[in-house]
Amino acid sequence: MSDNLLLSRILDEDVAALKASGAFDEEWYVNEYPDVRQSGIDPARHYLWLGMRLGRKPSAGKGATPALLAAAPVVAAPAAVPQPDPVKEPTQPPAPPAPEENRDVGLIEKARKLFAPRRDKTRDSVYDLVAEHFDEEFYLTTYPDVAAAGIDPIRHYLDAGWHEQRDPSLLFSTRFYMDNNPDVVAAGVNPFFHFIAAGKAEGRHGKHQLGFRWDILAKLKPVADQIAEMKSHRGPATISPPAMLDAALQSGLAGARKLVVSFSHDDFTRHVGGVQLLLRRELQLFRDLGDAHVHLYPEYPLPFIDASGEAISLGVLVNGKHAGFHRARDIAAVLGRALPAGLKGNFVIHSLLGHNVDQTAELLASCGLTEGLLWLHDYSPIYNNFKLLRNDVEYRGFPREGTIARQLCEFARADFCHAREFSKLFDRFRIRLVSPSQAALDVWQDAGVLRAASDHVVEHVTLVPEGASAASAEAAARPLRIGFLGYPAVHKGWPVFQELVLRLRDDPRYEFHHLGKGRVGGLPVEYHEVSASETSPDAMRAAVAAAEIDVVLLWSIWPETFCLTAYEAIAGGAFLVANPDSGNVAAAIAKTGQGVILPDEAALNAAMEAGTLAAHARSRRTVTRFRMDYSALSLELLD
Amino acid sequence: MRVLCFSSFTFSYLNRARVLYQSLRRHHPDWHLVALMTDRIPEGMTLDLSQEPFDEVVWQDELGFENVNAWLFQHDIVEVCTAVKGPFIEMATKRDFDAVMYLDPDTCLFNPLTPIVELLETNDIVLTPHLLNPEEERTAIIDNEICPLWAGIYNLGFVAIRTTGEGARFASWWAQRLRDFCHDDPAKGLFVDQKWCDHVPVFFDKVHILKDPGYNTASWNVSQRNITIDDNGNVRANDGLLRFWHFTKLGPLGDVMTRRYAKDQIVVYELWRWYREQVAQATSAAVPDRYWAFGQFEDGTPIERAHRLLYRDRQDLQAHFKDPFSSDFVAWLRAEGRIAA
Repeated sequence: MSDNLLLSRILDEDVAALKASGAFDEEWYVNEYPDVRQSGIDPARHYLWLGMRLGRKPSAGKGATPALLAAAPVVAAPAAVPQPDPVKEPTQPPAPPAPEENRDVGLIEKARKLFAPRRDKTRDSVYDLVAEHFDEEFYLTTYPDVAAAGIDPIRHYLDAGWHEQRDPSLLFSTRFYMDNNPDVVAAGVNPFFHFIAAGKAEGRHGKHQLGFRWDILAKLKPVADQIAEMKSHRGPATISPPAMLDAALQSGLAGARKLVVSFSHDDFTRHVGGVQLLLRRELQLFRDLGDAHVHLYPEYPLPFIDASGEAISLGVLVNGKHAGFHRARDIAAVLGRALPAGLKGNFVIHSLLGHNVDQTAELLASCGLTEGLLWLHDYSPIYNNFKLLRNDVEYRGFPREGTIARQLCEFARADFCHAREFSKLFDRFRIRLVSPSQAALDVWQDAGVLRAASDHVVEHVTLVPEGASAASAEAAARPLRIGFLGYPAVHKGWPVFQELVLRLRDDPRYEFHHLGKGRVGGLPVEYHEVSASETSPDAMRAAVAAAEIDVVLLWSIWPETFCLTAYEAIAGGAFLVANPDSGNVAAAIAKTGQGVILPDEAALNAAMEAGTLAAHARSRRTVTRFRMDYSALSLELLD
Repeated sequence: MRVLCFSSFTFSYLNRARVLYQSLRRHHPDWHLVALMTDRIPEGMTLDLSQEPFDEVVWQDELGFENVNAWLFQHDIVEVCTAVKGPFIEMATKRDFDAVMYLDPDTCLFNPLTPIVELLETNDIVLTPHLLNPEEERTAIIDNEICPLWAGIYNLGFVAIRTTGEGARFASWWAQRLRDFCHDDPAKGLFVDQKWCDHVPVFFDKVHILKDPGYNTASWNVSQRNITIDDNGNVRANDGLLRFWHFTKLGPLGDVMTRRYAKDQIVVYELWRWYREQVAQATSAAVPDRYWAFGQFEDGTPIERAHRLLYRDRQDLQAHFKDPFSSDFVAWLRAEGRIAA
């Protein structure tokens, strides 16, 4: 098994043939499988060497095999590649595919030899037993350096990986096992081998039973250390010539009806995400009205206000076009000069993460802006953890001054306080608060930390019922399809979904799907790449409907301020499952009745075991479909 | 009620004790806080009471022993720090207080102990058991049920008494026993100051066995207690408030036991994380690592437990070597081959 995985055995001519075939979509491949980019291997070479073995696709929507067989026969179809069998003696490889499917049978033979198992080097009982339980896909996607080295992952784990405390699958933690079984360490036995051969039967655990929150807490560093680490990865600040900004503003402001200066945490024209899509829509709406839109974002993002006092390099977008990176005071000076006399303006703060509040306030004041909107996309204006999570693990209401919750929280112990920083803006400017949901506004008002001139709720999307269809009889006959939507982020409840999948992987009542980005290797989950854009804002809703997802697990552990995904799931006809701390997700369920709120993870597990979730989801005789109506965002209040 | 609250420790535990006293100051600013110390101030360190979170220090030589060095030598660090609790609690009952409370230096308050004071309105002695309910798993039975069978049903990291009546009678009895028999010798039915208190509910009246899970929570009972943060940001143990935690064994062993029994209760790990930081902040660089003034003879030779037991058992040695820390006794032990040459 070792040599046949060597990356060096993939021939340049085969890589070239694959590229020339048109069957391989490089951009799609690296987006679909994020580990490829990390591995640094040429994507086409990666596909030939590993992707194909893992059953990956070479491009969206097409079956890999037929096109490739024609174009790059050397790698052939998976069927032509005998999979190494670590237990049985090697048998004759199966007959090559029918000649009409291949242009070059000689190349197939070559491929067969390339991938043939080399028993002489692998005939050892440790290897064989470990191989039975080893998750190659997990290992190679989790450790791209191993993939890049082009060596047999099992051999790597046995020779080096376990000493480096790497894990052979999602079900086993090498470090945990070694920490808790000193006798195994003393014996010098490979811990995974020991676990399979003896430890499991002896009642030892392969990984800790402390839950995903324990992992987060164990890795959590003091805020100052987090910031120092993030800053250490930054390059030098880019400072563009002021003339670049000047020119952009001269043309961008000419003839404008009004000026809007807006702020967010990153470049919304380049990054994809819920808030970024909203900002693109908002920009278009302002442009449609003839307003000039100047948007500022930190060149280097940070999940905190930057209270260090360092001059921040801000990216400037004038009417959505990049106008260089500049210091706040330089922007203020150039903007001040370029402003046509009498042009009125407002500011819209979507996020000040990565910004400095004093520099922001000076910039606004020097442009003569006195009032604006503050969006409550997250809770960064009132707490150092923008998700309002204590130690990044749990939400139990706003952690108030003087409480144990706050005392325990690493984020509250930072030498700066977001609420205090934002209060400088509230003292100086007339700020109206815009919350994307009543649920988030309730949290804000309950915290009572900052008082805006007025509070408003402007939902990004409203769900409009579009009639109901009868629940299909087919759906009732097949396993319940449980979906996770979006990027597999911890605060969206991915670990809870993953644990369910691992526990119920063999339960015939369930089928698990991941719709979104960031495929996680080593999980028996059907993955559907879904990525929304301005041109297809409806992509997720459509994907939920197309995959006929019955239940969407949206186990957000923070009080979501909006959560478009919840709306997309409901609009796609799915039944939502969430916890009471999920903010607007729980509120959306309460409002639409399209889901259930379970008190905690124990209740979720119990419902899955008992099958009551399926009963809930399928008790609906009809599935209500909804249309998603988008709001005009800031313009709902500014015009 | 006028309350004297004390803890017993050496300089190695000063950091933990500071965290305890800070929590006591926060919740009970009116209590008189005493540090009962069995140690000597490390060279180069000054103990400035105005900078410490306690009001008074009582040293081993203030406890009325005729020959405190001879008595002290007969105990290891755990035995002696628990033994001094007896004589001191008896002394404290004779001072101008209504109640005396003892807390181990590795405990910490998260909410006021007011309910204890209220209990002492009608009771004279309050004790907290190690375990409130039977365990179910075999490992837990061994760790948490069997262990108290030899170490004592009640955890003496906490005791509260009235300074009169049965409280005073208990204090005198306990003091007397601990002067003579505060030994770590489970085979003889002894486990320092703690095992003695198994007698308390029988020997004394007006004893309250506190079965509230909010008190004296530790790795040995956390499997039966649900530790959560409530909507007010306060910490709870089951349905009530968490009053104090016993952070026993700060280090890898404590971590293993906590993980074994707290399982996925995240708040427990958050409490420990916070406590570890507080202790680190309260640590004085001037205290050498593992410092204890009575861990070695005058000439610096380390004292082994066998030396202490020999001296404890042999009245002839006690009569001859009035100060067992002296170099005379070292010379004798060396001549006897009990200290390597």
